[in-house]
Amino acid sequence: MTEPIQVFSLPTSMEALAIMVGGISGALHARRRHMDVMGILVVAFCTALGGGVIRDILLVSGPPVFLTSPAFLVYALVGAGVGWVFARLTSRATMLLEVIDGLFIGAWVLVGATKALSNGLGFTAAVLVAVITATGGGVLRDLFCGEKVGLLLPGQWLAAAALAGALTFVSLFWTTGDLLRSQLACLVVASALRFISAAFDIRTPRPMDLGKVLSRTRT
Amino acid sequence: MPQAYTGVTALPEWTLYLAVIVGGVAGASYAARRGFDVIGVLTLSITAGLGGLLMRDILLGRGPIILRDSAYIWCGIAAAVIGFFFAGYIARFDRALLGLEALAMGLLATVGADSAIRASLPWLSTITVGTIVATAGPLFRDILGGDAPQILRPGVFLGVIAVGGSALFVVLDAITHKPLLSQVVVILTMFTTRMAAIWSGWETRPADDLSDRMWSFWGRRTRVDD
Repeated sequence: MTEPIQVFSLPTSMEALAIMVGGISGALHARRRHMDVMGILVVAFCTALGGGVIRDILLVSGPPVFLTSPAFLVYALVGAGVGWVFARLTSRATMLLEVIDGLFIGAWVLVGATKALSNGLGFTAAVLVAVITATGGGVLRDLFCGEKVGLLLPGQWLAAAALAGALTFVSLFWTTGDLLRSQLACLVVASALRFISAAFDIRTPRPMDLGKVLSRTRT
Repeated sequence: MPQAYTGVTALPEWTLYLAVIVGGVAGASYAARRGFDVIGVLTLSITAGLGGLLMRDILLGRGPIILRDSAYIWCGIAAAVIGFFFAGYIARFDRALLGLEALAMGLLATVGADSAIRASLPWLSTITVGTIVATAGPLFRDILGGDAPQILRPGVFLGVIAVGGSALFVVLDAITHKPLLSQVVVILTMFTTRMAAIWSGWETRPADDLSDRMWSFWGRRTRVDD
């Protein structure tokens, strides 16, 4: 086992922005489903903070981070408020929100992966925890809104980008042991995949039935 | 950092790995049927395969074994690969998968109940933990897939068998004190009841409302012909 590593953390302003964007997207979803104030707040909070909560439950690392550093709650609250009050403005700026979200996906992956590694987990488990940290909020949002879970459906590379970022970070860190460079590579790979798939409309692959392919070649 | 629970039971550990793969393949083929993508297949096979063991460790307040021992995650990934490439074969061997799932559910129920007994929980809690561990995987799968969970709907006995199996394990373990014997007996009993229920079409019914009958018992017929 490697020695405990420093848990990745964003500068405070970046962190606030990332959580606020999550809160806004949650609030917009809730509005679209005609929820009331409480619904908007709950969905926004889950979207912004849900991934971290699931991660902290999995890692058994005490109370979730948003309780120990309540500033997170304030950021999510501000995001929910913005999405609630300025709904028309923000829903016009979905493009901007998506871009910000895509920029931060690698960061969430890194937070999850480094926290898992510093808790003494192996590399496979770290990848799993990292992807859950980055995508858990969106899954909770879809479940609470009663929608199909977008993560599971064919579409743009979202969880797949997070997975690729996590794999990049873990494999680079495993082989070279250079924390800083592997973190940079993870950020670049995750965001690049996200934007490339959005720009060229590349879809995630569907299951293929190799059995059919094999029987066709035989006949 | 809380100590991770090794999760050993009387049966060797590879049986648990097999149970994870079986549950994972069932989750993956479900995802393939619903038209999900590669991430969907991976997510559902990992949640369906590992959900039960994860719930056990969360309930008992331990570091999840599935994160400590990476073999579990690899079993889930292997199941996803099988489901991603060979969904057609799996659909053809539907019946066999059903039987394997019944065996895996029995194993998970006994493992959950056994862990709860070792954590010196009272018997009612033990039955609850066994039931949750046995049914959590398919439950998570259905919730994520956007279905009403199969165990909650009227139909072929699933939850009832999980409860009964956990209860039987508690009784047998208290009487015999031989975990291996009671584990094997419980797994076989659960397997045969499940198969018998499927073949003969026994089904659970929607919940009855007894309030009218109770009133009529007390001589106050609220609604006579309804």
